[in-house]
Amino acid sequence: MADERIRDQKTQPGLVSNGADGAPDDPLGSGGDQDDGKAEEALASPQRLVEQSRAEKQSIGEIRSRDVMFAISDVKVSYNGVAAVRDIHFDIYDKTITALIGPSGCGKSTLIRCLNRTNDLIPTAAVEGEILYHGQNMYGDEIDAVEVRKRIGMVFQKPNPFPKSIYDNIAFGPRVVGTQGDMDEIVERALTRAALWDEVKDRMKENAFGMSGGQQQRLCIARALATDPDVLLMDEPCSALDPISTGRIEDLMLELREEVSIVIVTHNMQQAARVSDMTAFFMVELDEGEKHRTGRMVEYDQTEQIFTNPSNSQTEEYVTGKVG
Amino acid sequence: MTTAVRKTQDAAREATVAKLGQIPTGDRIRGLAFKLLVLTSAILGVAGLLALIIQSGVVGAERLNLDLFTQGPSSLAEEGGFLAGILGTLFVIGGVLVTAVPLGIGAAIYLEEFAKKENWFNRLIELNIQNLAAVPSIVFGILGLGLIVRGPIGLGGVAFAGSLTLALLVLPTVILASREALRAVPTSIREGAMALGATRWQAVRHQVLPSAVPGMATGSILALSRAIGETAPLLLVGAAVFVTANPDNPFEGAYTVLPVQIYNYVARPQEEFQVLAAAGIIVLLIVLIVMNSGAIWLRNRFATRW
Repeated sequence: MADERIRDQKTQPGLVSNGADGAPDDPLGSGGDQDDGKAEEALASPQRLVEQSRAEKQSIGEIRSRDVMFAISDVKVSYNGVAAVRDIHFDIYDKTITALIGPSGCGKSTLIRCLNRTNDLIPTAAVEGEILYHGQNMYGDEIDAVEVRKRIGMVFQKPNPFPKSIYDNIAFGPRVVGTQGDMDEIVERALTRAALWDEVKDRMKENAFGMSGGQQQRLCIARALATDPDVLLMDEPCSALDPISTGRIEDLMLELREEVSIVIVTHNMQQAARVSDMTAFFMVELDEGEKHRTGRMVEYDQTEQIFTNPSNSQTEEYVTGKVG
Repeated sequence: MTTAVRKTQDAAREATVAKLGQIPTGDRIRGLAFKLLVLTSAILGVAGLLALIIQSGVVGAERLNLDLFTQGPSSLAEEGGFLAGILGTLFVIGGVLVTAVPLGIGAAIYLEEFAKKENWFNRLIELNIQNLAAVPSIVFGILGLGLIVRGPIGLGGVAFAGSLTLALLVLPTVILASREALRAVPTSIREGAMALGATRWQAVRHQVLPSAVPGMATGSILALSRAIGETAPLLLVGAAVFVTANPDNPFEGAYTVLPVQIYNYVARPQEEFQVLAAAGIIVLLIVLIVMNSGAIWLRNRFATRW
């Protein structure tokens, strides 16, 4: 454990100075254990979950000192005039893994789709409020949604490879975006970053539909990475995968966060606890007539805080498994 | 376990086993009757076609030789062939292929990928296409006569005028089939492409269209084979019942097509012409069966299984 921590500190020089701002150096005293966690997940208490966390946790002060990547204020998203989420206010930080958790229908997927304007593709969707991306209004009149999506990549719930070769799946993004450089190298680098290169390097010309579900999802991650985005949005990326594939993707996220900011929507609280630095908890609210369900954000804090000492009772009930 | 409990269990098991062997007679009869009913529907549907093939085969067999394809029109049944009709059909269908297919696919791409569904203009177009698909073909013939042969376009009674008329006729079919093919491509593919920073056109061009092409081709071939069999509108726009020479090209001269020629031969009193017509029907049916099988093969061979 100690070795691991030292290694992590070496590879993350920017994140070591936590003690300086008065916050505890490492609130839980441990980076976490890679191997023994999964079998016990079902029985785990929230505290235990966080102890299992493989992420090197940063103190709240340190994260909050990072650049604000997305400043979300007063956001409301409606489909056909019916609000799916409303009153959303929070900041997502740069080079951080931010998890959005909550029960089905709480609007977390709706919200993440706003962050690269994928909701624009649904004609009935309307986004109100303001989302600043590095200080710039993403929904401003002069902003081209295509340009937004070039910088902010997305991985979807169900792996959605194109019905083409593995190579062409990766090369499509760089081609349309106009990435400079040798395409073979770009493809290799993207697949390497997604920890897929060794498995597929001898079958680059084969159709991506022949891969396993987990490989397909890592291909989709590689595809998103090939255009060198600043942010990777992941909408329940592991919900269709088995635990081993899920573990691979979680490892991958932890490796990637040095270079890319990640926002992940997940139904799986253990996953949020394992990988994320910050967690936002969403809940469904019924209106007076109990006709419409609208999502609201209940609490947003450092992940340990959400899972061990949430300030809201709804959050506590959800993370301890009393509701949801 | 007490003996009493065991006895009860044994009794229950025996009762269940005894019932397994009995299928209620009423259910069995109803099931059989329904199966026969639907089987009859299926047979009756095909029986008409089968009767036509057999009857034409028996009657036309003696004229089913190469002369049929090499002989031009003649007023003597022994010398007459279908060359003029075959050439005319090729010209007309070639014209339909180069007009209706690109137009139909283009319209389908617009309606499916770009049009905002709530826009009144797009809804109007959509409504019209569905109505056009139900318009009788003779009405298209009248339209073709007024608009393409005589009116503003004024091509005269040439093969290409027939092409344009039939293109109008099959356009709704091509559009509907192409839209179906586009709709079969999951939204996740469009979202996946656009999430990478592709424009809508790039997503459609590189990811959606390649997957939709087999379906579009299938629909287009089926539409073309419908056009091959059309007779009524072509009679109105100038396909001659009897031509004296083979047409040179689609843009000048009188022409005829295979079904019109068959129609002409059938209408004659002499037995020899009846035989010739039967042979023509066989040729037409073979062409249609080959085209439709090709369309189905294309769909099965190249369609993406999502």
